[in-house]
Amino acid sequence: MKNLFCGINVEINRGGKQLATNLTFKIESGAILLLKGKNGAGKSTLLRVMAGLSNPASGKLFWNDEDIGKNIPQHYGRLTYVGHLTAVKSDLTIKENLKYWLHLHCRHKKGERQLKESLETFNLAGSSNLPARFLSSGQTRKLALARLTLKTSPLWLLDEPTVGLDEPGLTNLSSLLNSHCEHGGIAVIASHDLIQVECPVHALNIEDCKKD
Amino acid sequence: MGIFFTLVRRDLLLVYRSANDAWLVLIFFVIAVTLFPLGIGPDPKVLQQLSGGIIWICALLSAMLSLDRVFQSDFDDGSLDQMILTSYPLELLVFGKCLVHWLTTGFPILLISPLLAAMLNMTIDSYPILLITMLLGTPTISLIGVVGAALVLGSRRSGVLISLIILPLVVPVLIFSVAAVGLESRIEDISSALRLLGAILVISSVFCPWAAAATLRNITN
Amino acid sequence: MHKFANPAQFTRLANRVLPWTSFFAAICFIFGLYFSIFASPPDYQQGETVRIMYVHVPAAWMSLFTYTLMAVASASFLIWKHSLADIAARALAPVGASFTAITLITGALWGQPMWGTWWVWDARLTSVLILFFLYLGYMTLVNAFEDSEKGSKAGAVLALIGFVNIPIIKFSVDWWNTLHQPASLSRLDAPAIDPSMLTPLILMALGFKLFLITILIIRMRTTLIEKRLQAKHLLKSG
Repeated sequence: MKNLFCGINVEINRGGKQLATNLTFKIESGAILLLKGKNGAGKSTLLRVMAGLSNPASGKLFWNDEDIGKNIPQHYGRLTYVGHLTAVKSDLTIKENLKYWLHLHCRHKKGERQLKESLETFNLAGSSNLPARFLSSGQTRKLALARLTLKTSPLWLLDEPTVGLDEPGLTNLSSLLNSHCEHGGIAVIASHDLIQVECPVHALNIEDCKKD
Repeated sequence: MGIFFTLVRRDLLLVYRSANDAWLVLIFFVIAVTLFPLGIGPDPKVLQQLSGGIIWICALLSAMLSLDRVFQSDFDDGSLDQMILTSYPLELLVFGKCLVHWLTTGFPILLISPLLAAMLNMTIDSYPILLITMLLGTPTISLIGVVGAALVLGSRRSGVLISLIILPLVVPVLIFSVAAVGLESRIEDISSALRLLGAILVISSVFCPWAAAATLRNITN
Repeated sequence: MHKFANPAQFTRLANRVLPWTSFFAAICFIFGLYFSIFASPPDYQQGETVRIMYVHVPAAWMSLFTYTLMAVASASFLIWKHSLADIAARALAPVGASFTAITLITGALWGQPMWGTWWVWDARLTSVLILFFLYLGYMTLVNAFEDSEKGSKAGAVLALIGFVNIPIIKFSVDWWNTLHQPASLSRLDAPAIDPSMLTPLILMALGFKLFLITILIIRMRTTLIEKRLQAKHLLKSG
């Protein structure tokens, strides 16, 4: 199943100020789009626009030639967004956090086994009953990334996924991305770090698209 | 529908684990009611006359205390984004938030109100009516309050601001509830007051989740 | 409606209309006050103090009318996203709040000679007081955000919610009033409106409306100039 995610002349604002304009990108199944730009350039804002959480100031985004603005809930259903904020509740255990996300995002309930597999992706299975407040920031990010394994979604939007990750974590993330791309998924990643992947990576530098 | 109960269960769990919130509201309610005899004198006749009003005003103010926490922590840690990103209707999830707020503030207040009514020498006949007004009125306060909580999300001063914008809107609930519990109220007045309370509750149940969801989507924009 | 959305066109139109509205507002006030103070009869029971009614009643009407305009502007902003609608709503709020304040103060001034108290909880005054709080809530909310766009959206929703609630609040306050005062003696009104009282009342009401339009235009024009200055400033620095 070949998918195409593209944006045409997208303009993004933050707090009333224009960040970038004439952003145009095209990315097809099995590829990764890497967003580059210095801090504050608008990478996170662009990811939120791609997720449909914010509206672009102008321009449109298309999934398989369909304007995502026309059916936002459907767009939500096809993506997984792991933003800068991890959405981890410190008063819940690791397992409870994951279970809640599972119910939130998957209409078909998978069981304990799915949860176990997700936890094992980032080696969190051992501490599954630990309240999340005891996790380090790197472990919290791993938990947030484990969200990617809860359902198969064709579009992944990741904002600085490597922050705080150790070597094994980075390796796990790479293999996760590789597997995702192998199965025809698309990923858009904002990152300052290099992630070793085997699939084609296109780059988009937001700073090149400043106001004219 | 399962998601509704999942969210409610998770939020209740969070309230329970953080331990202090729900109790604080209840304690405030009791203390506030206690202030009135201290302020206006312990004359049982006077207290009896004012008992409905005192209990209801304190219930109103207490229920508002925990409103700023309804969405704040989810907004701060990114959970609100995840709630919006589901293919479930956001209105349903917001309704779940209203239910949790009521279960942790309005409902305990309702349960303890007979005790406070006794302290204020309320006539025995008024007790059942007090409970009915609480049952109809406190959920409405939660519903309207949650809209207020959504409106101030991301602003510079949330706590008191919510009360400022919500209090004028809940004046009808206060008026009808106290009128129903009042000493000299005639039967027709009591029944029409209760019916009006019910109508407001029904309208709020439909309107408020919708308004709050629309606001939440705008906030993350 | 949409042609007003352009700020430049609005300013041109406003500049043309402003001298007329201010002129006619002044005329209405002059004649209205003349009729109120000199050419209308004192009330049989209340004497000269009834003349406060000629300011109090139109001011009460204006508080509600202004809120209605604010709600319409808010709805336009939410539906069509006209920034001019948002500017209008924000400009209307303090003016409406002032009208409620005038209503409340004149109400107190009126009630004092009649009943010896500075405040009376009659239905109209109480409703206007709650309306005053609605205005305050709106003004506080729109200005409570770092990002003024968020403030505009939140305020617009609140204005609409308030607008929908106003009939309910008014109804409940009237209900409350009749419950506690079965004989509606304490209504702050002249017992019967004589036709000779109608002229000054209408003149004052008209004057107030024209005054509102005048003030609204001035405030909106000022805001537009402020925004242009702000944009120039940002351009220079960024």
